[in-house]
Amino acid sequence: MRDVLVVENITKRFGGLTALSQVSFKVKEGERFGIIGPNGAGKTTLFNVINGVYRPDTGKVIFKDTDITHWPPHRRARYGMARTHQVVKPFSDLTVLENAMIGALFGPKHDSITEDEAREIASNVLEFIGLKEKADLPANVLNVQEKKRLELARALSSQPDLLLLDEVLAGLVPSEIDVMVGLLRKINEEKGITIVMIEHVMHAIMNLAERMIVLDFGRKIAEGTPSEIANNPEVIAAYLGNPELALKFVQKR
Amino acid sequence: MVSVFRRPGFIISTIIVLFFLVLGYLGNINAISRMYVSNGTDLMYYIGIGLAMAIIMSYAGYVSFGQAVFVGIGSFSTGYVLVLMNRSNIISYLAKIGSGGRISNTMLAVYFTESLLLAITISVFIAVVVGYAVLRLRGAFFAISTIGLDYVVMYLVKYITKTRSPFGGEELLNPSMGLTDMTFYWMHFILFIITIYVAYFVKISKFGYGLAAIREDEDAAEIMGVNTFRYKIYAFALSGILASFWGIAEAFRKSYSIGYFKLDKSIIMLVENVVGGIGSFIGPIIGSIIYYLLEWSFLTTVGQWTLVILGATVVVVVAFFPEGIVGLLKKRFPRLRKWLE
Repeated sequence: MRDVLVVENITKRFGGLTALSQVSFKVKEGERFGIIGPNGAGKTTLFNVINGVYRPDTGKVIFKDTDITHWPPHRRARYGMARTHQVVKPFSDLTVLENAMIGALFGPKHDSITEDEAREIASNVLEFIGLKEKADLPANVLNVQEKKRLELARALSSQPDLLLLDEVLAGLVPSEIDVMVGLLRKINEEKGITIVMIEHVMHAIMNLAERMIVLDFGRKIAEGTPSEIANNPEVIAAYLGNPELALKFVQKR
Repeated sequence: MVSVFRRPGFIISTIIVLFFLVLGYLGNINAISRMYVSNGTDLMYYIGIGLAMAIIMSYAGYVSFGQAVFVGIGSFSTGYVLVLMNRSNIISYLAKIGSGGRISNTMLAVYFTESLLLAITISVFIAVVVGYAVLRLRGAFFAISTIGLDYVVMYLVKYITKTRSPFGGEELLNPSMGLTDMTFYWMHFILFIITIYVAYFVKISKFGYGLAAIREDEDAAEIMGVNTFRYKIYAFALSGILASFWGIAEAFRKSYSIGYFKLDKSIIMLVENVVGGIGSFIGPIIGSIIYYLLEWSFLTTVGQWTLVILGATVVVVVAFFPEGIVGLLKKRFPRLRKWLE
């Protein structure tokens, strides 16, 4: 299987602070890939570099065999990369359906899609995500969990090849987390969309991700399957803390 | 999906257009009806500049104090066409028919078209050059930079008109040339139809969705694939073109004046949008109608105090209904949402 996303030696500095240092990894097509690490490790910064919000100081981002390091974010979106935000950014004054439609209108099919097609794609996605009955409400009346779903719906409406998920599970209660995890698995398996996700909810990501990397102070300290990560002494020291607990997460699946 | 012709915004636009059509036909009966024609002409102007501003302010969420520059460019274009390009024509006309004589409708149409083309060219040029620089700024910084735009262009035009001999001073030759109020009414009407439908179709187009995304969250819009910078420049230019149309209309009706460039024209446009409600197509129309009615009723009753009272009205509106009238209606009557596009 080919690599859909290749991140090579990314370094990003903000003034004197090195947020990312020589980070490299590869994500295969159709994979569920996790990024974990303590707060301030550079996870969101890494996402911002991947989708073009920040320019890296050194290194390359290769997406679908094309070097996109110097592309602006909108061009990456049109090339098939979609993203959700940790702090949700709904278009508050627009309806839920219109929010999703914008995803479809400006996604990879932006130059051929009609408004009617966008509307249809958007309402199908809303049904898939479980927001169908809220379609005509303005986005600002949704609760946190629904706003998280809306972020996902907007990203999916663009029909991307790669989905970057920044803590979609944060702020959800356990029952909602289970529903969301099931949804993400469905997105990956039914739609064949590659998922790269940042997550703090350990049992969820250990369950969902096929491979993952661990960041600490901007460096990649480990890469591997969830069980390899859970047994890695450096990761345990930096992030997981209790090795027995970490193993329990893995065994749960 | 509902066909465009059955969408609320289209129906409302068409009702307003029909209203002005009927007013125009009924207008030329007696002295009182002619007064209404004059009011109708003013109202079209106010709605027109409100909708021109709406493209950048209500749709894209960018507050610009510089849109009056484009109204000024429109009136300047008309002045230029009438005075410089066609000066010899006009003089020979006036000589033939005697002063106060009418120019033919054909010549009028030619001057009108020339003014439009010139105004569009200059507006696009200024919008792109200026937009390229200032549309990188957001919020208050953008707003302040457009005040600068206003003054720079105004003094530039002042300089040009003072140093070129045919312009004489600030005032150009009065280009009304004995035309009737009805002629100006229909000129306004043509521009009104263009403005209202362009504004509406922009709102419901893909471009309009992109602008709405920029208004609500520019970073999210960019990440979702909207070419935000390019869209903002398009919106700025289109807003400028529509604004320049109203400078042309007023220059034909009254005269070219440096006054059209002034900041207070921008503020009128801005107030119309704020009062009506940002984010919609209907809002700026409602805001413009209310603004016009208030100004008209105050001017006929309290005269010089008009601006003071209007200012106070704006303060009240912004303090109590920051989302404007449309925002208020949407909140109170959620069922109306569909109609308040």
